[in-house]
Amino acid sequence: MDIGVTQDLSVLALVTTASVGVKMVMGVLLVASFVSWWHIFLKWFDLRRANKMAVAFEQAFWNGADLNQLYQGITRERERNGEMERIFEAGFREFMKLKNQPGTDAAAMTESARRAMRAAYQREMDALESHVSFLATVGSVSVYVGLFGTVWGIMNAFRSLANVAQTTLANIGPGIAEALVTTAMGLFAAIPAVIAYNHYTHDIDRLANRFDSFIEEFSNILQRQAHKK
Amino acid sequence: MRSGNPAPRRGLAAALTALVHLLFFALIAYSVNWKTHAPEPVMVELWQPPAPVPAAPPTPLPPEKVTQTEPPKAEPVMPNPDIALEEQKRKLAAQQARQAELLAQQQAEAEKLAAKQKKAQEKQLAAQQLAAQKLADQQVAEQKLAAQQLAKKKLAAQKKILQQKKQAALRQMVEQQTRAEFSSESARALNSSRQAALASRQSAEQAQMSKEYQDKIKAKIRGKIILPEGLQGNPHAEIDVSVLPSGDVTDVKLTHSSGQPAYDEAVERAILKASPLPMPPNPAVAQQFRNLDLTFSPNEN
Repeated sequence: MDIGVTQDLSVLALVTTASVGVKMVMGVLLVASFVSWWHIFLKWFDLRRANKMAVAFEQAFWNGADLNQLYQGITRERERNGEMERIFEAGFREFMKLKNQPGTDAAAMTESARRAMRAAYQREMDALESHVSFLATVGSVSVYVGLFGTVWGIMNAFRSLANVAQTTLANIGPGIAEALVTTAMGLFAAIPAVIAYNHYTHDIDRLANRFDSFIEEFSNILQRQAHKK
Repeated sequence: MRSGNPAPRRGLAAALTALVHLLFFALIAYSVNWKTHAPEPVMVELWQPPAPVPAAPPTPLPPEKVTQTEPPKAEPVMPNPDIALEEQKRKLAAQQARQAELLAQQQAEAEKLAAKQKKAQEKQLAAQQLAAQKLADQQVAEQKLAAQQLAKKKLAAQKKILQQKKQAALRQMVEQQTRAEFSSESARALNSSRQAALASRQSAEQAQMSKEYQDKIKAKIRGKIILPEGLQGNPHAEIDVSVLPSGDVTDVKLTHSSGQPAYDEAVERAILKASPLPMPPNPAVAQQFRNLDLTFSPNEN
């Protein structure tokens, strides 16, 4: 910290003149920000796609299509399947297996299919919720990490004052500005992460409700089919 | 991940992430730079007109106007003594010439008279000699002697008159000359006193201008001084500043430290920041400003 006539207070200068501890904090926050933003975008694309596919499948399902045909189509094109397709596939496969076995109880058949669907639902939900917790972590922790960097920087700024006979605002100003950069970075990482986390958990809850209701309705259909036989 | 094609989506996400961060840093850098550069265009130089000139309006223009309008007033006065002096000189020269002519005439007349008298004497002498030769040798000798004595006496008398005349003329001339000299001297003295008055007025104006600009310069520098905190007492820092005619500061030298290095540095920094300094429009005055010896103390006025 030199107290020259011209103080370079550009952000780049603040970052490059920072102490090692502050630089490390900055690095951690930068990585956290990058990863959280990456997941924000990934999750955004993923949830949009899941929502679209769920709508499309529900349309196809409730349009009164033949369940066997639907199942054949889904097993043929596994690459283009969504979450709901996979839940349907798991339940219907289990139901067909039991149906082909002679002497199985209708209640047991639907119960078994329902369990298979529950398991598929859990897997899908797990995949959907992956990395959302990371956003929550970044959102809550990066503020504190930034604050830690600021405290560290201010400590350094005040320690460097020990050698200065006359203390002016010009002596501590750059140190505090440099320290506050980490808080700014922490907030920059935290704010979008928190917003995305809240938004995505809400979206995932809605999807989960959708899957749940689909499982219940499909169980009813399967039960009817089991009794029909 | 189990969705159609995850790899391009990941790439897109990474690209968008980079874009967001670039935007963020660009915004921060721009806003911070903008903040550091913003105060400069709103720099205002405030200064008060110096106290001893209450008549001068506070705007910086009127003093220049005064200096511009005054010389024409003074100039019409200036040629008059010269003209008077020349007239006097001319008159004096004419008088002197006339006197010289008069003197020459008088001298010529005196010479003519002397020549006539001499001729007459010679004639008389010749006649007497003839008569004496005719009469007797002794008588001739005696008469000759007497005649010569008489002639001598006459000559001496004539010479006396001539001398008196000459002396009178000379005295008159000397008197006139001295009178003329006295008058010319008085005229010169008057003229020189007028010139001195003019010069003194100009120098007063220059002094006023230099004081005004010294005050301006000090005010400008004082506005730039950032007083260090914890200043004790009333330190005086003397600083020698070298200035270009354009007002740019070329060198700042501390000639007498205030004893508080923080204040010395603050003043030096302020002088460098205040460059270019306001320079007086009069080049003669500006020349005095090439090397400024300034004294600063935090509690002055």
